[in-house]
Amino acid sequence: MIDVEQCHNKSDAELVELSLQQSDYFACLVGRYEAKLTNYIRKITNLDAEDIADVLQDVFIKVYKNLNSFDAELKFSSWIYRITHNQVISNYRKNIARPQTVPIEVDDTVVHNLASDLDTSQAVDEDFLRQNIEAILEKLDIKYREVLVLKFLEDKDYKEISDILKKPAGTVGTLINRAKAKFRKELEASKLNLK
Amino acid sequence: MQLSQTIIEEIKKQKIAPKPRWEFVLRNYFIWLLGFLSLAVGSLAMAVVIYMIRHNDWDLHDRLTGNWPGFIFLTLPYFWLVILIIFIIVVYYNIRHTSSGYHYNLLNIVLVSVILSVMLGQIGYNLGIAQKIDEQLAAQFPLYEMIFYKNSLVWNQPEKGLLVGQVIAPIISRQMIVNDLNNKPWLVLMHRLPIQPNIEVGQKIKIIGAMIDEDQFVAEEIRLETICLPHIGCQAGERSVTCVRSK
Repeated sequence: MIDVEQCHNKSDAELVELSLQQSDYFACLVGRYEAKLTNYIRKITNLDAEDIADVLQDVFIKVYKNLNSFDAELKFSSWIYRITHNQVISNYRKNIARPQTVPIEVDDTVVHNLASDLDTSQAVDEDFLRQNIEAILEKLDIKYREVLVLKFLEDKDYKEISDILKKPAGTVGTLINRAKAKFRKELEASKLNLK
Repeated sequence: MQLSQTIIEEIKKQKIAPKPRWEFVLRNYFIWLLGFLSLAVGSLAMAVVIYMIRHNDWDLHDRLTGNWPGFIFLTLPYFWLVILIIFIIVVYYNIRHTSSGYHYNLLNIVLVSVILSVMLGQIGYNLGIAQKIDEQLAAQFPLYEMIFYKNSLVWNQPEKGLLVGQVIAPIISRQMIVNDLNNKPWLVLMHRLPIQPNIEVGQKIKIIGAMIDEDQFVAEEIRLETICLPHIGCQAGERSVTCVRSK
């Protein structure tokens, strides 16, 4: 078994090549992306920890099987997020979703960026947003939730989101704008409910 | 147990191996090939569309329908336009399923496909391929024949100076007998034509002129084109316009 420490100085693309020669190296890629993908799946689905682990295992096995289809012109992270996205959508269609048990952790920078980007006429109360972001995201359709998660919580740029979702960059832009409008609407509704 | 360890054990236990690279390369080439083939078929459809539009009886729009929009609506080659649209959709579907196809949006792919189809279609038309396709289909497929037989019906308006039918008796003294689409015989007088047209018995013709009696028609122009008649079918090799008209 390869020691994950050995892989620190290797790029993703190098690890892909090494994994194709010796499967043990694949452990390095799993180690590198396990936490990121766990968070990503948690943010876009309402799965519990056990289901997330199952999805993740399927994702990594799929990634391993398809290593030869990885295009070096693409960022490996975009490619593995894409496979995760497809797996999540596939599970979503099979309707295996269960009530979420793990809350989303959102740091201040994310909340601040999201608040300033929402461009509402009234200044968005960041505390309110922090407390309600999870509930608001959950009310959105998965296509809007996912694009907001990628943009604001995963900090992906348009090119990366385009590669992950396999949509043209222009379509991604439109999708983000629509998602923001839906989010803003839900945010306003949540505020009114509190009054 | 760490996930990485579980995955590696699973890979080894189930003897999972990465799929070979050639499989992905082949799949990608196959999708591109299907895309190009679809574009080629779409271009052939466009060639026939160009051919039919260019050989439409534009000069007779007033007699045939009375107005331009009605004429265009009635004579557009819908069959070929539908074929063209279907294959452009197939091109779009194929390109979107190549490894990098997702970069292009629907509008761009459709626009490029249409432009390429028009360019290739024009080449197909210039090479005479469109005419051959139209004539062969007309000669061999009754369904295709029926679609375009409907167009011939527009020509069956003697009171408006339009007659379509089949020559049933040889020309004698610049007169011939033509059976129209309803199998009604007409005596067609050709004294206004500058020369006697070379028409054989059994040939299908379009005549422009005037109805002078219940069963008599004076020809001012005769067009020898593919005309589909019930029970007889379309004659191949005649769509190219041969025209005899009075001065």
